[in-house]
Amino acid sequence: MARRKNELLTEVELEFMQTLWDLGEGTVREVHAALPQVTPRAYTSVATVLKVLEGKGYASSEKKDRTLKYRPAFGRSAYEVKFLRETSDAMFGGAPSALVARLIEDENLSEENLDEIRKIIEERIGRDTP
Amino acid sequence: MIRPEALMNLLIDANLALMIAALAFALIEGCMRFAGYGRAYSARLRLVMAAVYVVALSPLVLFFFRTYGGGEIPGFSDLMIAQFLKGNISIHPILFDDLLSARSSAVAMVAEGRAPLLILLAFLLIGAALARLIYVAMNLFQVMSLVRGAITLRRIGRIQVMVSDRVHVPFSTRGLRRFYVVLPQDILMDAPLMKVAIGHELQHIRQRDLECEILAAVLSPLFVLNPAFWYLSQKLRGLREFACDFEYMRRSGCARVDYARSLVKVAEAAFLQAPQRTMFAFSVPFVGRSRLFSRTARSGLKTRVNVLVAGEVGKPGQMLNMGLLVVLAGMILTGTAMLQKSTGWSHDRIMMSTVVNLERLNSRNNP
Repeated sequence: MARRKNELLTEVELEFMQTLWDLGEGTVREVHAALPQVTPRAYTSVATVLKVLEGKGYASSEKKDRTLKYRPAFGRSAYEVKFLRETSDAMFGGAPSALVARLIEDENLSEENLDEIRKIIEERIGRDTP
Repeated sequence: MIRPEALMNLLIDANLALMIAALAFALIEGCMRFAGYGRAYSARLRLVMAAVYVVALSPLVLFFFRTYGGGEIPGFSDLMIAQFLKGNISIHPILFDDLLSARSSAVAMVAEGRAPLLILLAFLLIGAALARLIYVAMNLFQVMSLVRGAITLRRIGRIQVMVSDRVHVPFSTRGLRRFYVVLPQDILMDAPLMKVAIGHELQHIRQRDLECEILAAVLSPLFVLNPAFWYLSQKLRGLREFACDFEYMRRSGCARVDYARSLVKVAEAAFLQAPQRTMFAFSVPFVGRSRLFSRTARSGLKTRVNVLVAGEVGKPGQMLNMGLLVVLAGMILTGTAMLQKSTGWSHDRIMMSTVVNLERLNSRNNP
């Protein structure tokens, strides 16, 4: 799998790394249990994100008693330094606009625009929920 | 070796055909709105897609029509000549002839390097086409890189559902054989949202929107300065999203309100939280610059939500659908055939040529 090692972490990945840094090491099940339970998460989704972290070089895994144990491969303070140093990477983010069909197009949305849209939904079809 | 004149004529014909297609579509769409079918998004999408395919196939259809019994279709210039000979157009014969042959004269002048202004215009066109070609190539590279860097979550036949940490909006694309649905990593944490996003993208694959999108992107350098191309592209993108939304909700039984809330959730994560999530407060201009190129001037989300709220009503029957498609194809093919350069010598053309030659002789003898 062609992945760039040591890219910066996304919000979700950062949440997982915080858990891993706190735990020291853990199986998918242990990480799953230790994550903040704001939204329900599937076991497979947790496994996928841990796999991504390993691919990026932030975590490493080792098989112990037929179970994969994950541990951080990158220290918390080392990441903070890296985060500050590599801010210019943000320039290369984003998705292409030609050759693809996207769920929603890019737009100049503000919090006010979204509030207005939410109001339309709740007022006009808010009671449609079965 | 193809002569530059032949290439230029081909390009002009293709651009004119697209203009005719845009006009024909706008006319039929206007009639549909007038007849109460303005909210029949699937039917309107089929029409705009048909317009694109008819334009692409028009040279082949006209070739078969002319070769197998259809004969020569009278061109626009033939109609004008007939009106001139009947005395319905009062203009000097030499000026009228110059107007009729303006296009072929301009093409010949550019090919022979005789008109600096026209050559400059031709270079401008080539420059714009090259810039668009580079843009499409960069997008292709970006899509390939995103798909290569994504992790496969699931395979459904020829479709690969993947997850990427480099995108904030779910999208679908296709390769030569496989289709790819790429989801942002954050969506993994929200199962209902993930279901809606995958369902929506699978519907795009079912509707063959990706093929149409890729065809439009590949052809775009040839039509980059043609407003008809951008008009049809915009219609195609807008209508395909509306049609996709309603078809997905119909198939999955997802309530309009849940679907609309999902769209808002994705938009919020992609366009409001994403820049903050990176926490690069001091480098916002860098993030902003990269996003500026892909931003459209106005928000489409509100329009889309309003369309969802209003619902899809007044679907035309199968016969009416078929009739509209036949009328649209007929208008485009007839228009395209009429605007093409006439090759034969009709009776009227010989008369016209004689009148023009006599006028030229007269002006030489009596300067």
